[in-house]
Amino acid sequence: MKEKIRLEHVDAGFGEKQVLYDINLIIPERKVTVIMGPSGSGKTTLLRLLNRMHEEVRGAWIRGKVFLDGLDIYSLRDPTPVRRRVGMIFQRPNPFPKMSIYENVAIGLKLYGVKDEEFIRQKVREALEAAALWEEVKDELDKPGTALSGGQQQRLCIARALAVEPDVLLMDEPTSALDPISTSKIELLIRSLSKKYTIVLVTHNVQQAARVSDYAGFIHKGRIIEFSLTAEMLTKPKNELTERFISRRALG
Amino acid sequence: MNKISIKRRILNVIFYVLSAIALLLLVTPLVSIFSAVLIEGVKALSWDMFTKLPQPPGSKGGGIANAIQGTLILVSLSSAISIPIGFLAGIFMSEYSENGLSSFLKSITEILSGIPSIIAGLFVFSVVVLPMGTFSALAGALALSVLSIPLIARATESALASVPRDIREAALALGIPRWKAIIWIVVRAASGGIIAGIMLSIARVAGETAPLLFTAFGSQYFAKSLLEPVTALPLVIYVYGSSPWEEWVRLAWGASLLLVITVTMISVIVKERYGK
Amino acid sequence: MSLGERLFRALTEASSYIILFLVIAIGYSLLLDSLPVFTKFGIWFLFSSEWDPVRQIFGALPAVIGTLETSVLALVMATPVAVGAALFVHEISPAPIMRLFSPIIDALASIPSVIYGLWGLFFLMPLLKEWVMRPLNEALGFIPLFSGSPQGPSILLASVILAIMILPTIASLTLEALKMVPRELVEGALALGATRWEAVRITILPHASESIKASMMLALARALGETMAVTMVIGNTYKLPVSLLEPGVTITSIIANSYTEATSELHISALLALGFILLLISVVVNVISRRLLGRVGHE
Ligand SMILES: Nc1ncnc2c1ncn2[C@@H]1O[C@H](COP(=O)(O)OP(=O)(O)OP(=O)(O)O)[C@@H](O)[C@H]1O
Ligand SMILES: [Mg+2]
Repeated sequence: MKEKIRLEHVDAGFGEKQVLYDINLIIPERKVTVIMGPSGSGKTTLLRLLNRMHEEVRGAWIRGKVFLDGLDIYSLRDPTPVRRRVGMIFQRPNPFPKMSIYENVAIGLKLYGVKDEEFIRQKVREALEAAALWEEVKDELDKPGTALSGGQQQRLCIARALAVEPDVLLMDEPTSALDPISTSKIELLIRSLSKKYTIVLVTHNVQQAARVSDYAGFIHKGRIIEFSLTAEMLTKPKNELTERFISRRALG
Repeated sequence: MNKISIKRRILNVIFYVLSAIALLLLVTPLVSIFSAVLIEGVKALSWDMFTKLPQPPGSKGGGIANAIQGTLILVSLSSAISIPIGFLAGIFMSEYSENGLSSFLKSITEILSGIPSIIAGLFVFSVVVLPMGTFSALAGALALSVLSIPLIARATESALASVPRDIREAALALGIPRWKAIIWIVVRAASGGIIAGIMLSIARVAGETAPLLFTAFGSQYFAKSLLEPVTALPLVIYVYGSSPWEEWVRLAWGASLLLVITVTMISVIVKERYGK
Repeated sequence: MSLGERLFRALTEASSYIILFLVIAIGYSLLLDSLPVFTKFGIWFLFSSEWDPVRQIFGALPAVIGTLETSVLALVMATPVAVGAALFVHEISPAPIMRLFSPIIDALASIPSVIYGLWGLFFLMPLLKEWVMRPLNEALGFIPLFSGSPQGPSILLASVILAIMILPTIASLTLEALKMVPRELVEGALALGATRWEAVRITILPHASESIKASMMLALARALGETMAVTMVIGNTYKLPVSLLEPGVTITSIIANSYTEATSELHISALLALGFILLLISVVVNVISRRLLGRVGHE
């Protein structure tokens, strides 16, 4: 397994409050790594450290090092190059309002300064295909993105992230606002995307972790308790806390 | 329900009657004003009204072409000044400033939007007209801008504030620099509210008279320069409307009709398109 | 930060400071311009009631009193009408009327004030003169408030116009407040056998009273600063008001009326000093009303 992201002795928090404690973690390349843990344990905070979105919250701070392909991303002054390489999908689908499906996917490239319309059109199509949305929307690219169904909107958001050609995708409970059918479509999509992208997925759904992920980390009260192959963690967890979390969730 | 005593029942009926009368009292002036403007205004309508200059008092005919021109000049010029400033100020309050600073600036904006409109005129009179030594279209437009800047800033700020935080985060997470994300994504998401606010502020200043008295001043001719006095529809309504000459009063009603149609059209459009 | 980022941020920041600058500059310049008149007459500017541009004597009292009198009178007349109408629409009338109400309010609020003035001059004045002022004068002429010989332009007429103009402010905020009263309260009262009026009095009015007060302050601020409509109908006679049926003067009307003739420095200074007084009054009233509004949860 090849390392994509590495965290070394990372502490993070908001103002007085420390949320993450001494996180050491290696995220493997082109695999799906799932982060599990109880509510409030710091999953979202951890995820947002990886594309420097953490610092967008007033009072947020971080100590320690986060490497992406060996480069310490917090040594850069400007966070935007990191964010271009690390796409993010949110809990609720959030297509840009007042923009067509096409514009939603194209806007990233356009705002990077890409002028070549033909190139953009090509990228939009590829992204929509990769997000398994092309067949459904190819005849109505001019429709507003917000007019799609919830599941389609989430796939549109995935396409929007893919269009700017990142190599990492961060997903924060991407299916928690969706119905079961849309959820399984997204899960399939995650599997297929993992051939090309490094994916970090936050979920507190153990079954979902089992279905889509290769590796799993368990976080509790801001500390990584366990990290291993998903199959291993789900079948024979080493830590008691992990075991309790898994068995409780697995039951329902 | 025969338990309800006569007295209580009578009180209730009085309540119904009085509140119905109140509604009637509220609606009657509106109906009366609109029909007055419509009837008297239509009587005044003529081709000359749109094409001719006003005639000297006492003589027949004449029009308010110069006032139409003046209003267009004043409104365009003040839009050119106040839209960028108000819009950018609204962006700062919503997107850049810390909470404390933002609420301070918002309350300052409230104060500016609450000052009487004639004060805006006096202020521009004192800092522009007196030093320049002349009334002018520019001064009039500046006075109107003092009124519309806070309106536009407030509308922009509140439209932006209603854009969900998620949208900004999604934009930033794409690696788009903040200023581009604001201009091309957040502002676009809020565009309905912003445009509505701008249009309503234009409608408001188009009908303002008081700030023009000491600034644009009024004129009997077409404006040839922004540094000369100009007249405007509301000024014509005031001056001609309170004059003793029948012909001028007629023109005042004509001007009122134009103004009411403009203002009403803007607010109907805003309602229809932006649901404000 | 990139250059674009810095530039854009600086632009927005500068724009919002323009607003702050305007507020300060308006206050400062009006104060500065008032100095000549205050140095010449001192505090007596506020308490003298003479206004004679020819002899260069200026006193603010009639205008200040006229402004307060017309505005307060307008508020007294408008509040029951606006609140009553809002109550009728919200509690009694069928839904279609309720839907018509806010366009009506908006329309009333969007009419330019100079058109109120024109309408007041040609339609309201004759009506009021014939049906209100004359009878009042004939019946109660012995009371100073209704004395004199009513010609039309008057403090009463100005107040009525102002009242009409502030109706939308009070009505719309009151209606909003009524909508915020929990429905169960009213229905509970009705279920207990209260009449509609009792339900309104017991449950709704106490809930809405803070909002109504706030809207009254806001309306007062509007009325104090209103210029054109008042100027056109008040008659502009510079004297301390006695009778409601006679012409009077307000701060705004004397300013608006003098715009073609003020040439001497002292005269201009006196007008700007009046403006400064008006600014102070209206900022204070506005700030109070915003406070009240904030407390009841608008904005
Ligand atoms: N903006 C913030 N300011 C202050 N504290 C925050 C902020 N965001 C999160 N926290 C705190 O940090 C801790 C971790 O939050 P985080 O959102 O990372 O948890 P999570 O594991 O994602 O929870 P959930 O499963 O509910 O999404 C929580 O105690 C939360 O209250
Ligand atoms: Mg979370």
